Amino acid sequence: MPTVLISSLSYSSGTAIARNLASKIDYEFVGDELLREASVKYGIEKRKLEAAFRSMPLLFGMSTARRKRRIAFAQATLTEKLLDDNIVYHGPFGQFMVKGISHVLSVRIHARLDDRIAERTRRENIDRREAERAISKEDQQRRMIAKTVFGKDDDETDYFDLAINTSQMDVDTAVEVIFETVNRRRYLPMTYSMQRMRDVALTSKALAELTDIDPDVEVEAENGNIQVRTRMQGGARKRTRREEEIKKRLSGWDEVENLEVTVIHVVLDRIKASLR
Amino acid sequence: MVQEEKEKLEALVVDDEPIVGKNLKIILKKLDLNIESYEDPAQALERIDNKHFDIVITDVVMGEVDGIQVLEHTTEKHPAAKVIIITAFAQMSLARKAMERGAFDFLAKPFDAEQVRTVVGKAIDALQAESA
Repeated sequence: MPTVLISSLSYSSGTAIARNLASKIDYEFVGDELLREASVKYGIEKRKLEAAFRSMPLLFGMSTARRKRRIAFAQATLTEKLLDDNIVYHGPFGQFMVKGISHVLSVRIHARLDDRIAERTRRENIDRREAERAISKEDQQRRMIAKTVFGKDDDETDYFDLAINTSQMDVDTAVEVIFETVNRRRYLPMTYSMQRMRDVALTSKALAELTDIDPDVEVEAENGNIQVRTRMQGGARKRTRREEEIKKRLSGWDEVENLEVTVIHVVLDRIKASLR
Repeated sequence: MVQEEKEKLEALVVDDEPIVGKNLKIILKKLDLNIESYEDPAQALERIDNKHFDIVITDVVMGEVDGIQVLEHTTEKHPAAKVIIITAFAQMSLARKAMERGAFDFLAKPFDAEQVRTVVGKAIDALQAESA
């Protein structure tokens, strides 16, 4: 069966839609539980993972390196779960964490700003101005984190298969639309998409393992072959040590058949780029 | 006592690289299929017009006729046939298109023998389950 990833703007009924869909198709619903699992798996407090997904990137706040590492833990946990389980995931940035897999349906739930403000005002019993301020801040945080960690615009429509406006559609109708879409043959898992899922899971696991060495490390896994690219300053001896450290960390994994590590000298890389 | 001879399933392989057709024939030998192999997809389409095939394995990028056309032609002529796409140009949009048009499975090249045998084995199981 296909997997469903739902990313929603706050107060647009995303959680209700994801929960009801999971119940309708008898899938496991994964929301905040993901961070609890990641917290246990990687030995880090859940609140720190939550902060990585929700706190505004500020000059004196959580460093980008730390944020990337924490989000990499969540990504690795999510992609590992997707290998075996039928899941509806509701949470931020699923569209960036699991992309390019044909049996994964990526859905964005949104609503008119006025409706979101009204919903927050009603649910939290606060005045309209306060609700508007809070929602604007959350939207800004979400966009900035996406830009900082994934280098992408969180509202970029290319990453979604389906976008639903809950100002135009109630929760039940939205669930029905997703249900009908997910049942189309085009989202059926196949040998190629299952292999891609294994590739993405291995890539994510390696990223979680290596982001403390280099938060911008690039990893690409394909059929058990992993390519790692990392950049650093420093002499040949330092670069060799980094290469050896990466090989030491990944080479014992059952899923890895071949491992290729490229350590790029930052200064030489810049000179080469300037000559181009 | 006369034992009824079990009819072999008919399979057709279309790939413009001769080596792929040859390899697939070797890989699928164990599965006891009658296999015909074509390098020219236009000839393969003609053959599909004139003979029933249970399983069709096709490449996608092959010049004038592509694998999606082979898929559509096969499902039109033989709705029960299982069409397996094998391509070096695997990507999400193509995979979804193939499944939407009725492909049984979709594999990326390079493939390993075991993987192909597993997929064709599943196609045989599905055909037997449907005819039971």
